[in-house]
Amino acid sequence: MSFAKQNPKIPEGINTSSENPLKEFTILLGGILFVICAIAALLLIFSHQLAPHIPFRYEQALVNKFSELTSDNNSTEQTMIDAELALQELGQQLADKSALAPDIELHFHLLDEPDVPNAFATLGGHIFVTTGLLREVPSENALAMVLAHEIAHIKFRHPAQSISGGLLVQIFLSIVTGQNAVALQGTVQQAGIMTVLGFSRKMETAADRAALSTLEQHYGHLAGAEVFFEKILAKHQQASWQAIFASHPDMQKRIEQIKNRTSSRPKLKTSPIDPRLRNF
Amino acid sequence: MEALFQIGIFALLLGLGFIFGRRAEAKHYKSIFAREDALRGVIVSTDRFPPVEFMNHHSGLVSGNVVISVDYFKVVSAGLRGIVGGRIRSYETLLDRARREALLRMQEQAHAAGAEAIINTKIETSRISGNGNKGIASVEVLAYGTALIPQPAKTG
Repeated sequence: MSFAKQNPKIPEGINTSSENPLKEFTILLGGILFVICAIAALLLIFSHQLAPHIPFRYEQALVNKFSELTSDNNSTEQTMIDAELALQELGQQLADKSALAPDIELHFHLLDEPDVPNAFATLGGHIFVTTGLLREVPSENALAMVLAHEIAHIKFRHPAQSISGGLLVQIFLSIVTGQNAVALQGTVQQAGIMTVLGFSRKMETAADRAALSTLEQHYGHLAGAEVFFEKILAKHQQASWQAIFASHPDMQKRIEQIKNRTSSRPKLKTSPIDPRLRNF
Repeated sequence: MEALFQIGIFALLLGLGFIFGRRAEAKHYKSIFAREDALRGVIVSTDRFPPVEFMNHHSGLVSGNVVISVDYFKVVSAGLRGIVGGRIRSYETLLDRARREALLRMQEQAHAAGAEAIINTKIETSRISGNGNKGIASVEVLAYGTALIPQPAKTG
């Protein structure tokens, strides 16, 4: 046994490749981006069908941070606390009649905005009512109509549906990029949990219909239900109504629909509103 | 706007990684080829026992080690490869360079000691990770072996 005179010259390109790394990079990046975009596009297209199947607790988890925030904000004045409690009691009674899925939890919040009569439902089963709305409603039935309407939105998972295109894509991208849930929460908040979500005309009609059924079950009649929508229409010109109108199109048509249902029944007495809700 | 800013930083890092990484790699390979030619006389072998003609040589431990950092471009490229699978070419050149550099340094040490050959050569690789899985990782390659140094001719 003996050695060669010197180390052999090993040919290049066995363990490595001389190909420009940019070529591989471009192909990989292009291909992967294409697949991601294709999946994101599919999620967007089918988001309305997929949204109701997203477990409700995912929705809750996303807005959890946010709900802590609001409860802190509102527990300053005693009248506000009492009113919120009264709102919750009425809301819970209506929710019991709304045939909600068992995993859905509702949270009612009162916003101290006396000049903006508004109510909206958002992700995680949160329903917001402004003090301005409490000023406007003449009877409990009218307020119940609004609440039942928003409850119906949550029952049909409309908030998830209207945000789900973006949300599903966000969830998908966060899985791909390995971003954590905290960053995701930030983007969802940016997407506008606090804002009025854009519900389609179809969603509004479905919510109206369900709300009327709920009201009928709760009070046994529909008297007073149309008042709120009539009031909205009367003040159409005012700027403060713009927000609610953006999400509640075809107000006139809807009032007619509600009136059609109410007029076929004998007029009945409306219930008086809870005194705790009268302090605004 | 924020997203644009982030993409901008990402692209900048990627570009810097590519340009400087590529330059460093080309330069390193040039140096490797030259030094391999220069040190071809210091024979590197994996045999465990010296051949007969080396039986009367002195022996001693020689080692060479090198730490090479991955650049951003390689990390991203490998990350993309990690999704679809396959050869991570960007890391192959990195490890090839590290292994050959470590061997060269070992040969240089042996050459300085006047050795003619190195037997029982082993190569070890370990990763020096930058805080857990985050950050840019680097890799250490250690080559070591037994240098065979001829005994000085007996005088008188």
